[in-house]
Amino acid sequence: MYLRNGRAAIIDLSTGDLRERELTEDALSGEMSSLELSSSLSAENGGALVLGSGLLTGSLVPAACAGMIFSPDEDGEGMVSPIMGMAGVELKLSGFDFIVIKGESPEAGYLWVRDGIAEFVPLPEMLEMDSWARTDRIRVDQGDRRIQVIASGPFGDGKHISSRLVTNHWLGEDEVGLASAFGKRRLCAVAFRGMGELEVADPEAHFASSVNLQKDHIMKLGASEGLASYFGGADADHFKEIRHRVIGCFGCPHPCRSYAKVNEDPGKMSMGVSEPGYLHYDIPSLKAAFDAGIDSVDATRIMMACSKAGVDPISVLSALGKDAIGMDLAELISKSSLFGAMDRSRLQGSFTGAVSDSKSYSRCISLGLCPRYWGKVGFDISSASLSIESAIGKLL
Amino acid sequence: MRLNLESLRCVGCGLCESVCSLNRDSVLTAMSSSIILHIEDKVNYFGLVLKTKDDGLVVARPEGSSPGEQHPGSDGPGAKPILLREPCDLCGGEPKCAKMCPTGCITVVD
Repeated sequence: MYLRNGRAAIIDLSTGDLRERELTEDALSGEMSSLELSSSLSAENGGALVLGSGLLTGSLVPAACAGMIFSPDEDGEGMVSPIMGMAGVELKLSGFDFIVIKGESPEAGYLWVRDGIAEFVPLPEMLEMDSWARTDRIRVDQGDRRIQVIASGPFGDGKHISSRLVTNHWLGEDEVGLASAFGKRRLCAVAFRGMGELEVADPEAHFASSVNLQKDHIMKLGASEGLASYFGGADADHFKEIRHRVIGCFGCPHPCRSYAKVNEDPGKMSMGVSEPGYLHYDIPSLKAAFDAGIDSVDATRIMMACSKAGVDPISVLSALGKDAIGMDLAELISKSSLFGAMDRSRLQGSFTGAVSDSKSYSRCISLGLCPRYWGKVGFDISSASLSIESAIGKLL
Repeated sequence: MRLNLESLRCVGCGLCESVCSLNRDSVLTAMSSSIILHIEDKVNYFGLVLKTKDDGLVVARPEGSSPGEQHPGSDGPGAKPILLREPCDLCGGEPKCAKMCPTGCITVVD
């Protein structure tokens, strides 16, 4: 089975029981199979939360970095959020294509997945931690800095409608309210590390065709300016003054992630203070801050506070405007009754709106491709057919 | 021939790890590559560590590269330390990591 593990982990937080479910190649290899499987696995397990990877996630197809989180909503539809950075790939390399989380744990804690093993680790004191402290604690306890952590914060614990999940310290993916699906299960975080391997149909052909495709894209897109390549607001002098380095998600030749330092010299390349700044790729939130007349330094500090709290910055900025400047975690929590849920799907720069229509967005996520990158380069899956066929052994 | 690493050009995409493993074991994984990405994501500190035959480990930090340095690599008890991995064989003369690197961080020099 190419680019797949062929199995899902199903964990019941109520009992701690773990079982595996085999997944057939037919079920896994369709163009929309990942979203369809997420939805059906959720329904089969009483409305479970599902984390999964796309068909091409982890391949050499450009920007094949995306995983996904699915949670049923009250309308019977599903909330879907991409998982970006290295997290989607590491999830797939953990040994499972999907992780199905059902039930409610009697104690707070986190799910730890690696090497084909999934276990719930009770850690009630996590409820006293913000999302950054949870991420740091898991990495220290499990002894690996590259563990990927999707954490909720106090807003998720409180099942707040404006809660958001935080991936490796950062907010950036679109879906608002999803962290409450963690909160209602007393699930503070899901952590995973990818130590597995993925087979491809024709390794030499996959390498050669993917290099060619990547070079075509680079020629088309030109040099990357990080976030400014996707959002003109990041070209402002006040943002450039605090910009540190650009970092990409897995396999991305044209990254959208610019780190900004506000607590030390942005030009410092060696290790310095423990929390020097923030990784900006949440375009709608940064735009909302700029539109409110907030400069890059204050906007970055607001993002840091919101990320620790696990709350949507747009919801905060809509309610508080410039009064959000300088607020810490405790102050944000004290104002939580003012925050509503924002629909980010149509906002400029969102992942959801990065491709031409909702079907293309769903195809990107199901295939494990970054909608923002593919929206920029032009989402035409036939252009990647050689790279895809050499990876999975057939055409889509 | 050897690989030259310009750390500040690195965007941390991880393709070098994947293509190294693909060349070595015909699978995509970050566990058998001769080159690994070192990331401290909270502080945006990242670079590469390459295991070579002649120079030992080449540590490409953002502050500058240092050949021959001892380095445990970016890993924990569950991961495979770079010292236990095979050294780079330059893919038999056409290093794939250099070909795939989208930013020119990894180049081939004589």
